[in-house]
This record gives sequence, structure tokens and C-alpha cells, in this order.
Amino acid sequence: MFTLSPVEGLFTMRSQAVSPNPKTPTPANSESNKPKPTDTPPTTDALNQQINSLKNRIASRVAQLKLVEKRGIIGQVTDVSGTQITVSDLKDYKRFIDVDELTRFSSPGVKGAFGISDVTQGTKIGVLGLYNKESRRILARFVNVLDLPKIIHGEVSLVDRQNYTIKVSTEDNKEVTLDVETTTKTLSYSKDGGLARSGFSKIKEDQRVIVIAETDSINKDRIVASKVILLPDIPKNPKTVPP
Amino acid sequence: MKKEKVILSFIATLIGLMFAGVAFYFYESSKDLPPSTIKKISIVQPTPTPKPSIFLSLDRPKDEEVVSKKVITISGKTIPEAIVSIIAQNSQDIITPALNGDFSTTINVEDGQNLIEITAIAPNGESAKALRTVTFSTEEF
Repeated sequence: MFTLSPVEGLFTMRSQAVSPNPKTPTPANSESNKPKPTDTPPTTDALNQQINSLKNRIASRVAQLKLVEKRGIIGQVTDVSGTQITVSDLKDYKRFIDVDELTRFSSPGVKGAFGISDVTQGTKIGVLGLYNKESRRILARFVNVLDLPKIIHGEVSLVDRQNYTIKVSTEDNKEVTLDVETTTKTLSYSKDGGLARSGFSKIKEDQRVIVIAETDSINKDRIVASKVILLPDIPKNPKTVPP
Repeated sequence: MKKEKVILSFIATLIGLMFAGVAFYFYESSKDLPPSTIKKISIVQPTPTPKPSIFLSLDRPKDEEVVSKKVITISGKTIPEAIVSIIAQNSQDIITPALNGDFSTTINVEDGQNLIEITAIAPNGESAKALRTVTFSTEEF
């Protein structure tokens, strides 16, 4: 059923009265039906479409490139599940790492096959991959088990000249016993002379030191100093409290 | 007549209140309070945290940066009197900053991840530390 209100009817009548614009009949052989020379041929349209599609692809690729960047992180594995590794990074932040079929795993101690199933909790790993700034996840391309040296800052609290060990009070108020071996390089720093070679005999108690050390591969409780840098001119850190 | 009554009663109330106020004031001032009942309020000023005598800000390298060159620049700012130690896996260096505190040096990095520890040590022994992870890789992905 179709009904018209009086107002609508009035408008309809009015529009009918104004709008009639009878079309003039077009002659059959009119020139207007023929394509004008300025009209774009269909090949140009296709080309334009291709250009636009390419433009869109470039724009999306640029956006993708800005969103994703190469990054390398170091962290301690806290969880491994399926294709995801969770690590705690050097700043103690939780980081999520995705692995896929392109991810390569390696460990310095393992010569054969090494994969995600070999990565265990507590392992220190280095991850190189694509970091997505939006999801804050890393799509790993390389995962390596790391054996990083320890860097110890502190003061010498004890020098055992018989057993060639030193005890260092660290800035986080711990005491570390370090073995000094024949391979250990001892250096001494002074503002005038810079870094110069030194020896075990020059290590004195209460001296400020920086030690680069590694855990012994056989005895895990033993820490071997690979480099000892003595800072005789620098006083103790006032924040260090002897344990 | 009615209006006058209202005004008069208002004035009387006002005078009454004034007298009551004066009487209360004299009563309160004549009162002797034992010292034990008086509470002493002391405003304790918060002790400001001592400012560290040293700071360290790093310009380069960016943390978690991936580099394709074995030699990288380490630059930043600290106090001019400090010394700056740069410790990486296989290279160590101790430098002194310029008069404005700026410092810059180069170190060699190893393949893969490199943990670089930069420490500025003040003449009084205080230190400020920064860690950077720099990865050397020429792989395309």
C-alpha cells in the first residue's frame, strides 16, 4: 500500500512541476557516441591500476619495515613451550621469542643437532631476530647458547699468595673468591700511564679492581679470573659494605 | 509595630551572642591545662636522598643493536673528572672524558651477541653503570 501525506504530495507535485526536462532525442549518427581522442584507452587504465597496486604494496612494505626491525638480545630462559621461548633479559624484563622452521639453534658445547627441545630453563641465550614493535615479540632467526664472562667490580678483601686466589667484595655486598692462574692477565690503570701490564704480586688488599672471570668448565663452583684490572688511584666505592 | 519588634529581638539576640562569646573567651583563657594534655606537633622535614656524585648517559651504541661492522663506537657523557671503563668479551679499555664530560672510543666486537659494560667511576669511588647488547651479524633476513 502506498500512501502520501498532504505535505509529501505537495512536494511531489512541486518537483514534478519544476523538474521536467525533456531529453532531446539524439540523432542516430551523432558524433558524441564516438570515443573522443582525449579519452584514456583501456591499456592506460590497466597501467594505472598496476601503478596504484604497486604504490600500495610499497606503502605497506614501508610500514612493515618500520614496524619490524632486526634486534639481538641476551636473556636467561624462564620457560619453553611449543614454539615460544620466554626469557628474562638483562634488565629483568620478560621477553617473548617465537621460533619457526627458519630459526637456527646452536650451542658452543654441542656439535650435533641442537633444537628448541635442548633449550632448558636457566640457560643463557642470545637471540637474533625480527622484533615487532607492536607485539613486542621477537621472531628468532638465530638462537645461541651463550657462555658470557662475569664482570666483577669491587675491592680486594683478601689476597691468598700461597693458593693464588683473591677475594673481592662486590658492589652488591657479596664476596667472590677468584682463582688467579698463569694465563690471567693483570693490568693496572693510572691516569698518566693508562693501562699497563702488572702482576699478581701488585694486587693489594683494599685495592679497587675490575675482574673479568669465567666459571671453570669442570668445577662449576670455581671462578677463574681471565683479566684483573687494578685501579690503585681510585678509592673504594662508598656504597660497598664489606660482608 | 510588628517590624520594630522583629528588629529589637534581632538586636537583643546579637547582644546576647556577643556577651556569651566574651564570657566564653575569658573562661577559656583562664583555664589551666596540665602539660601532659598538650600535644606537641613537630613537622619533620623529609631527608633528601643524597644526589649521586656521578652520572652516565650513553649515546651510542643503541641497546640490542645489530651491526655489520666489527668496530663500533661507544660514546656518551659523564662528569669530566671520572674515568670510564668499557668491558666487552674480548676487549677492555679505560678512558678519560673531555673537559665537558663527553667521551668516545671504538672497540672490536665478536660474532654474535656482545655484552658491553660501560662504567663511569668518580674520583670518590662512586660509579654509574650501563649495559648494552650489540650483535654482530651480516646475515640477511
